[in-house]
Amino acid sequence: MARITIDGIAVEVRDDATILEAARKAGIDIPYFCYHPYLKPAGLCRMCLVEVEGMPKLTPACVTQVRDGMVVRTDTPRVKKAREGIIEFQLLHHPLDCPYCDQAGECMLQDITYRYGRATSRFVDEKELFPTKFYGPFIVYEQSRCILCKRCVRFTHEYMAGTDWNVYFRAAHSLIGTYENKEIADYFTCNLVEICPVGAITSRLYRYKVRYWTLEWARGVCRECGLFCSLDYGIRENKAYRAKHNVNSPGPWICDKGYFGFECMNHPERIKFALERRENKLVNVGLEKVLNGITQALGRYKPEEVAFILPSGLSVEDAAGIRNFMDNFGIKKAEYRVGMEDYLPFGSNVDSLEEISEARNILVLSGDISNSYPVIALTICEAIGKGANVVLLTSWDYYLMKRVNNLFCIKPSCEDGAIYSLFSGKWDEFTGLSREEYERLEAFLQTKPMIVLGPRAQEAVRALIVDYAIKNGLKYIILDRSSSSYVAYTYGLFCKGIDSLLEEVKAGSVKALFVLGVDLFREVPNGKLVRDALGSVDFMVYMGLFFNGTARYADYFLPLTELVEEEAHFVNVFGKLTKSKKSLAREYEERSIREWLKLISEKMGKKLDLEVREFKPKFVLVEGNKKPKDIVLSGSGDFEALFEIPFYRNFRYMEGKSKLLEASPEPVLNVSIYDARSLGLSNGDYVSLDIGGPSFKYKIRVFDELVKGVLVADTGFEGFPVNEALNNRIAKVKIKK
Amino acid sequence: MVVDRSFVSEETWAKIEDLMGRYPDKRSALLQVLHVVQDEKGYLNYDAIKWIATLFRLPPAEVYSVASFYTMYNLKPVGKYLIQVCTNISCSITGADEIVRFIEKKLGIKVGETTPDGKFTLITVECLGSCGKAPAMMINKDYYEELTPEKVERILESLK
Repeated sequence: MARITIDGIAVEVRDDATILEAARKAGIDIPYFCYHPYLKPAGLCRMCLVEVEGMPKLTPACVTQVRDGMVVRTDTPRVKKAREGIIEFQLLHHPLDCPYCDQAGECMLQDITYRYGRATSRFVDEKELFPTKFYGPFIVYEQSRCILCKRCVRFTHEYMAGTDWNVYFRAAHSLIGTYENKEIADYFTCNLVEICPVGAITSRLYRYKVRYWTLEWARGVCRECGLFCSLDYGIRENKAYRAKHNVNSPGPWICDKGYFGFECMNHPERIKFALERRENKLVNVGLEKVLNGITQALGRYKPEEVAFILPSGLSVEDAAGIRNFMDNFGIKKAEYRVGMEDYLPFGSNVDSLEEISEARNILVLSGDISNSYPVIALTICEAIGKGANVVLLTSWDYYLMKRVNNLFCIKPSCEDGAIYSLFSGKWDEFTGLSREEYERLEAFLQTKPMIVLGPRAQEAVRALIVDYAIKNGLKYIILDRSSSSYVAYTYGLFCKGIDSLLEEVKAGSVKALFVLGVDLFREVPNGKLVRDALGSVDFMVYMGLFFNGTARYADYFLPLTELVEEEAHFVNVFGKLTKSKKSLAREYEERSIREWLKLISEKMGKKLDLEVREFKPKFVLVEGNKKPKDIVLSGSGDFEALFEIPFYRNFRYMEGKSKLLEASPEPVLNVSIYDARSLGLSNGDYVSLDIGGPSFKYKIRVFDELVKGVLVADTGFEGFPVNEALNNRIAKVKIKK
Repeated sequence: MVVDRSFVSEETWAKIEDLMGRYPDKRSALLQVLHVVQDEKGYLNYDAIKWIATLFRLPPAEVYSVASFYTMYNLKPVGKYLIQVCTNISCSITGADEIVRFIEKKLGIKVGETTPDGKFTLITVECLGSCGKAPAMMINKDYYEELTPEKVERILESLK
């Protein structure tokens, strides 16, 4: 520990702390632009110059390490003059357009100028101003407002290594932006907006909408993935305009899904009334009639003929409400695992994101972690930046594949087999790994890496890894496609898998369905089965925010609340609880899942207890050593295709998030560089994909890291029913030019 | 990642391999490799930047950031002879502006332009470090000092 004195205040700090950190601890304000607590110090802006006794020149506080007995002064005339000078330089070419700048009110340049700057400028010449640049659907760059602190560039270097974002040219002509593409939409783009201390990088969703100081902040929780980041939503006149992560978040950064995802709350197409089917239309007939209709219909079915299909991002309260409702009426069937994977067992013995970022060796298996748990992928990249050795064994992970130190890319159908063979210690040539690759992986496993398993893995693989990790004392995180697994498993809200449930619906043994906020046509890979099942279902209640393919089959539509419209608790992958408060008033008939079930239950003469007195998450135990199921590929053709929903479409209530959808405007087919060469394809070409029957038009993206003979195709587009021609995520396909 | 060696001549490739082998951190060779590729191609376009990025396993944005920082890398096509006239203080005092105007008139182009036959490109630069023998200019890699319009005319004639 070092003892130093700043402006007469004595403070004790770590030996490797900087003067700026010490000043923050002592409660002394040193102005800065380029310093950021989660970025490496850079010493670029010179705003934090201070006087240190014994040093002839002023020294930047953010890069100067403390020394025992150091005496620092921040209130001398020299420091004051230096600060005034820096501000005057920063403002030489600044447009001073605060009246219409979106950053006004939260702008560090404004604050610091107000506190430390001169009231006037001596610069009389014409200012050099630059045009506005729009980098894709999310980001606007105003070069004239940029102070070149390079926070955004440092963020992309330290956390998103390999992203197309940098500073070009030099001095007064410096320009920040993309080089290869016109757009930047790289999963964590929103952090560039948040990290910018001035109005140079702002969000297009927030552009010219509302003034910062008129917003009230409401604490909510992002429900897109199992991390349940705690976010603050900026509210004005009962509408949300902004999202910001807060200190309760598991990590310092969030992803685009969370930052731009609140849009669905305000969306004009959102349905806010309970609707009943009249012939081929859903119409508003009044709440009372809807409830009567539902209770009468439910009276017609035996309890075993009723089933629930649950969304991802289920709150503890909703899960408890569903459990009590099912117990009230003896209903047995519910399923939260709509992505077709087995999902059991799940869980982790890692406690925080920090533990991942501190890991020295990480083995990332299966996919698509960056798509389902983006912030975990970012943390893995952070670990790479800190010197960790990260090995990735997968068939497809758009974000991580370009960024890991060692990549073992295999065919999608071999993924489970390869992981299984690695952990059971027997090399199998059919997994697509050569003997030499297998041995390298095995050697890496001896370094006791942290294991991160993605959502595509089957039950047998999950069980084996948990078993192995516990026996060998390894850290592991096993991730699910659905973020509801903790609560849904604890309340027993699962049966034999979505596949068998839909088969039962198709066969007629389940006649009434409650589908809660899931568009089955998008989420269930076996689209054929969904169509058959929904076509033959007798009675269906759909709860959600928007009308979609699944709601088309509904007899009743019940509007739900979202984000800060209800109070709810969530359990994240580390087993921690986060809370969302109710801050928005409801306008019409929208209610939470549990409130709807309570109304229905009371109408049927049974009280529904909604209070959750305690919640103890249950963990899944490992069941023996099963072999992974063989994957039977349908269709014919030379290529093996993996069908996944792209990142910018993979979220709840996709219909209401138009800004995010702009980043993924059309279906893309990823082709390996070898296949692209042999077929004569290049980026941006269009091909049609033949899936045994119908064919679909795709835009080509050449992806260098993919294995020969493998295609990765997007699904989840409206009016693009690829799913309905498939019965699994993986299929054999043909390409036609 | 596959590096397509045929992008550069065998001679250039040998130079690149030599340069990249000289440093413990490959990246240290970036500036010199940019020079070597520029020497062959004349200027650094997107393809060249992308190729070098693949070679160094860096994002192309990073390589472009380096290439655009230094004025000695050409990001646009230049003529066979790149004429760089110094207009910094010592050269200006001794008549650099006159030299620039003379070359403009002689070649029929403005500063920053290339002659239609693709032979000459004229640009002005900051200090060439030859203040003692100002005004100075650089044509490709050769220095020409103590310039007068007559001397410049002779030089340009010898290059035609």
